[in-house]
Amino acid sequence: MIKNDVIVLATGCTAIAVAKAGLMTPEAAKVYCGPGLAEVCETVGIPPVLHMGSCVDNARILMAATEVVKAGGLGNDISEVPVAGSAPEWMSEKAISIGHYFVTAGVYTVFGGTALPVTGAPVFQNHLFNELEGLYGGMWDMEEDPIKHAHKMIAHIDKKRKALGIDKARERVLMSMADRRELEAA
Amino acid sequence: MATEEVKKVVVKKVKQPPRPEDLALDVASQQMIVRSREMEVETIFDRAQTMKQCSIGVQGTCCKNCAQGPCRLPLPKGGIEGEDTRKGLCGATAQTIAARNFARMVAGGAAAHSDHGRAVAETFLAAARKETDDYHIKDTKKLLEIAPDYGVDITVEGENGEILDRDTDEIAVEVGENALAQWGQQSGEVCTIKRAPAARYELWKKLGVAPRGIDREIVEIMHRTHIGVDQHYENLTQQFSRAAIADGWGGSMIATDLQDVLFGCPYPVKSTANLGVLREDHVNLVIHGHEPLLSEMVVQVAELPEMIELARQKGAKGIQLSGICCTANELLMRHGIPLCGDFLQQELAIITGAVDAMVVDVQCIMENIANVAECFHTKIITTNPKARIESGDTIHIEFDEHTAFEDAKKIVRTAIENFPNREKEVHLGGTFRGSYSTLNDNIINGRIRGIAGVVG
Repeated sequence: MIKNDVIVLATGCTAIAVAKAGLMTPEAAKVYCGPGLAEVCETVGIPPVLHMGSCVDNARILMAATEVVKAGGLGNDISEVPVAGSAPEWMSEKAISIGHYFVTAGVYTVFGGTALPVTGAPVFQNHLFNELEGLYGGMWDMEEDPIKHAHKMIAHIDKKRKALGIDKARERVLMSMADRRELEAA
Repeated sequence: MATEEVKKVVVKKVKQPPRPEDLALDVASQQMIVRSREMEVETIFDRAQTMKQCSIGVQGTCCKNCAQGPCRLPLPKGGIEGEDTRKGLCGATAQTIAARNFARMVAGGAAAHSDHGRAVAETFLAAARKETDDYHIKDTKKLLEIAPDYGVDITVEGENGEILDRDTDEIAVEVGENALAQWGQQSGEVCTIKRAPAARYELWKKLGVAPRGIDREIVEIMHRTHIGVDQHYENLTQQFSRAAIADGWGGSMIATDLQDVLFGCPYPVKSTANLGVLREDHVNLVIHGHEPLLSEMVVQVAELPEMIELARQKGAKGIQLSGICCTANELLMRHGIPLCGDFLQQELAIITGAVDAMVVDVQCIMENIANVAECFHTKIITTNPKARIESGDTIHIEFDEHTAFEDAKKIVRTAIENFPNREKEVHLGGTFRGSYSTLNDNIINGRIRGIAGVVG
């Protein structure tokens, strides 16, 4: 994700795993990130993976997404923000509840490691993986291969960037509040 | 619990044990897996080789919600052509069964997080009412920030119509009462869901998934998934959506809010992570589980001069606290206390031989830590009346918010009195936060492509 300029907010045991891998130090930005994210991390002095707390603190990620909506320029709802969710090695019932409150918040959410226990019921699976997008703007997915898993999330982020009309804006533009409002109105 | 049959648990013979590097990416874990094999101490990495997963459960289509079954509805290997005629004895389809099972998983998860939140709310209220000397309202700034979301005024009108600041103690009591009321509320909606963007909040109302009360939505899942109640996967999905929202935007969110007010908001800290944080010459007390109510008090007690002195008397240079699972995250983000390990490392931490005591509360605590501890000097201390362990030989020191300080003293003393140990190398980690306009600007200009929330 960070190689593809996606900033990562981590919680729970995932946060511990990435901390052990050294991705929560500012120095990691230069080593592992794409040029865009590396530059931002270096300028602000942050690591590319931010620790958001324990698993009960996933509410902090919901609030971060809400603040992004409020800050303007990235749509009126969480479902419009270029954001994706993941539990790369889900294990507990808590993860299922978290996954579903991400989905109902409008976030495309991919689970990995072990398949979700829905494959024996294709119609129900289709409801979770496809039909919910029509209702909530977010939906479930699963992918056990970690690289494909990440690329599914990146593809979704790109889809949202396109819908916002910022898919081509890779040049350095200094955005003012007025610019953001203009983008929002467009 | 039973102390007699203290024996080493022998690893079952596996044809070709997988290489440690194929079991864990993390080098410290690999080393401990090697050590566990040398010492013949069984861990999850061994059990995973011999356990054969239930092939129907993995598909979500085993129903054991009544005694006519359990009914097993596996998907045929080649898939289904034409009509899906699979049915349980009552006629429940695979869709109904998988949706009911999924709903119950949401109920389990939402209950775990939200019951954690309830415990925090109860302690918060006890602190606000000054019924305990051990907890205090620490972050009044955050209290004033969140109060309006709980319908609590932070100002009052004076005699001459002037606006006056309201007494913080009064605000805290009212926030605590209103927070706790969200669990038992029967109608209306959980107050914190209004924090969502307006469009999202309106969508939830339109779809009928705005939660009425936290407990109510979980109980309703259990009712609807009882035999012969809700037998439409879409309708079940609507209900577990309502329960999940009650968790994320209710129980979990309230837990975070009140923990921040009680213990302070997290701030950027630099710390270390992995099994190497355990120190050879210190008393190693590992706190494992989820609720910071326990760990915060242990932190305070471990810093007491009398405890440090006791550790010295026992031949240690000091007391090293560290965390496993989410307690580790709570300790890290508020105190910079090192992360000892994640869920899969709880047995491995004990296998270092350096853990004098592991104190646990609720959630994600493997029963087998008690068996592993029997092979070492490590004491396992359970603390929560909701979470006892039958295996091995554990100590129970019940932790009560009204006597928290004294309870924590007993726990720390138990660790100190159980000191001799060993050690391993250290890796670096840390945690930081930023502001949002920088983030939005850089998403818009494309330097940052997007955001990923990676959890679990």
